[in-house]
Amino acid sequence: MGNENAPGEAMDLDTKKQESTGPAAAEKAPIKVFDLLCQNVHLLEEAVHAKETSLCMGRLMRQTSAARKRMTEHDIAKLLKTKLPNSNEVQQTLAQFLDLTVTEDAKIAMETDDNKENDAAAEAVNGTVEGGKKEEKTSAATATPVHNRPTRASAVPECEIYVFLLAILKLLDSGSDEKARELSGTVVDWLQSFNRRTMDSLAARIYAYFSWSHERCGDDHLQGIRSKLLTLQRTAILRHDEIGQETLLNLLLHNYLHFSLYDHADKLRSKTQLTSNQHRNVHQFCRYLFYIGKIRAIQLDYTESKEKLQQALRKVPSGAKGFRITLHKWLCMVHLLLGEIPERTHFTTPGMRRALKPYFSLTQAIRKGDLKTFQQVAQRHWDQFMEDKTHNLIVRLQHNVIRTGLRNISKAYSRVSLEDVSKMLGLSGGIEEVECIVAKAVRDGAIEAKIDHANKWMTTNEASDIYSTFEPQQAFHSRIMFCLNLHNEAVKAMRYKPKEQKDKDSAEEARKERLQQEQEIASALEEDDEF
Amino acid sequence: MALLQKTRRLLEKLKSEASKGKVASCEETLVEIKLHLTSFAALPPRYEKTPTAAEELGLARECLEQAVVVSVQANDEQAFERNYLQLNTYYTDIKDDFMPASQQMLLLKGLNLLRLLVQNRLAEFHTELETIEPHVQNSSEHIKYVIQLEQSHMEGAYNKILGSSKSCPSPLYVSFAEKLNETVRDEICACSEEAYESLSLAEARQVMRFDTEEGLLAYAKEAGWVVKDGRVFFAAAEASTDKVELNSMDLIKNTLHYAKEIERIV
Repeated sequence: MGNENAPGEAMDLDTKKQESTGPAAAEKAPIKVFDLLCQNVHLLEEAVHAKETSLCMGRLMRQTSAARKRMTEHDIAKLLKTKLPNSNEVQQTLAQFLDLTVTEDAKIAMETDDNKENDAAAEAVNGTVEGGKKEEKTSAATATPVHNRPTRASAVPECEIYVFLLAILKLLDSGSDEKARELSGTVVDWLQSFNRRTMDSLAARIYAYFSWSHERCGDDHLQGIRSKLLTLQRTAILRHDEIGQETLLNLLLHNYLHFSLYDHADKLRSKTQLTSNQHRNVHQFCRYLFYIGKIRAIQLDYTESKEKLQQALRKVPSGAKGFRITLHKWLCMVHLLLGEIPERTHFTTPGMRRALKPYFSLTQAIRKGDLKTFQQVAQRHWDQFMEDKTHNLIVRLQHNVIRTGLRNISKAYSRVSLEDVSKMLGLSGGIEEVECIVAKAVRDGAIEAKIDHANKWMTTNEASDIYSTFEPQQAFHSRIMFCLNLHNEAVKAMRYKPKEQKDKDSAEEARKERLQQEQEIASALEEDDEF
Repeated sequence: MALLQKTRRLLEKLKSEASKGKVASCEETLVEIKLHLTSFAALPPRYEKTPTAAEELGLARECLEQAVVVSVQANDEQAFERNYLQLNTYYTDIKDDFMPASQQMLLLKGLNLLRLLVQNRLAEFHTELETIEPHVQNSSEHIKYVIQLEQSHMEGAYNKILGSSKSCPSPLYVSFAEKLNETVRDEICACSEEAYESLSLAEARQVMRFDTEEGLLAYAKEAGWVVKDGRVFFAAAEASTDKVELNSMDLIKNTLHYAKEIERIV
């Protein structure tokens, strides 16, 4: 579908990321997919027992993505059999979507697989490992202790959800969007019945794929889940499920912006309070910033928009290429609308040059202040701009082109007739129009000039020395403030491990030591003062 | 059922009154209609699926459209905004296959855009514009007209705006377009103040589009311009050339702030 191309947006932030990490991980670790999945389940179990799933989520998703490419329905079925033998409900639900009936061949294969593994494990334990089979056996050996504990697995509902997540991924990868959509819907309903904080991180992933699968099935479906998402968000807020709140807010913003409902999106944003101002997840934060940047750009608040988009660009993971390109496009537009010319490096980043080409030619036209070239470029790439939803911004740019042209003229000439100005700018409306346009530019401070109405010419004022004004000081001030803020933010963003009991004593000691040092410094300073 | 027919009759009445330009009686009828509308279950926000849902929604939409038209005739921008917001739900939330799109939709959308332009609410103007599909933007004369106006407004091509009130795509646009002309005149005056040192009275009248010299003189007095020897001198320009004095308070505040922050870092 058409969106497949344009998803610098939303979901693809992580799909892209996963794709980039996928092959590397696969080369390094030729572990069998099934074992990898077992490890993941084990990881999840431990995290759940430690009551802290949000920290291991990153690792879990990374490992899942490593397995994602090679994963088959068979693997999922096997995982279900071995890890969750007691949950009929899960099996029944999944059976509607995936082919869980392990065929005879597969069954035998599976059994022999199991036997082999068990044998291998036994051999490994006995220490009679032979050289040729070594590799396979060791991998099996590491895996066996993990999946020999099926009873424990069934105790944790998180694992059920994890299996569902795998199934959804599988369906999405194999292109059965409709099935993925239905399954994700079922799982989201299922999730409603839990109220476990350890479930939040997994649930957030499920929500993301819930929305993504609906988007792949078409606009109607995406529109249809809006109220569902709103309900989920409400629940997440009531339960202090922070990661869920962030994810759902972004999904909703994405949903609104997909249909160009900027007004709705802005209202939702302004009415939503994140319980802590700090975002838990960098990816979600990044997306949030991008959406805000987009909304602000549409509302003509370019300065703030630029700020947000730049921040997003700094935080975006290097693997999310599509998202990066989209960010670059919007940032470029905002720069241009602010009357700035984006740096050349914006467009020359490897891998993005082609995608940013239309925007590059646009920038060139504006830099020259040539209305005709600008219009040609806009015409030529109109379809691309429509797809990027920047077409309305492009229309707004026309006025910037005129401004730049006018500024160039006012720099070059100390006195020039309005007729010539009209010709140079390529305006069609005659002298009267030029006069109005110049007058407005003067008032907005774009050019320093006066118009002589009787003689129909424009006189440029002597450029005043900028260093005699407050301008440099202000510029300097804003930079200093930026650096100081950056430092403060960095300090705030630092995180420390919760101190454990046994560390307490040593921490106490360290504190004493530090205090002592400080006292020494203070007394040294006093001595200095005395001199 | 009876209610539906009753409302429909009221709507007919409203339409005939509106066409005759009886604004006061229109508003009375409108209140009555709106009261009736509250008892329809199929309307937002209830959206119940009654057997006559499509009919109810269609009727309600038509009523609100008429209400918007009436508020334009009454020249009441606030009422317009209220009515339009009510109406907008019908345009955005009801799917085309359930009910055919309204004939008047683009006309009214354009009118709303024009209103936002007149009130100088540009951020909302652009958010609203985003909801209109690009191909519609290019094909509908109503929308195109407003977009053109906005563009001229941004560029500063005020003469185009002043000329455009004659080429309105619909008589409903005229009253807003005239209001826009007034705003634009103020803009022109503000621009002239900066762009010219002085103008002769005749020139000033021509540039700022005053019909009479008295109008110009009154405006000049209000704006604080000096009229001498048949020329208008714009005093405001001189004031702005004065250099601002050193703002020591800010300077001190900033420096202290830096000191505090740096201390924290070290």
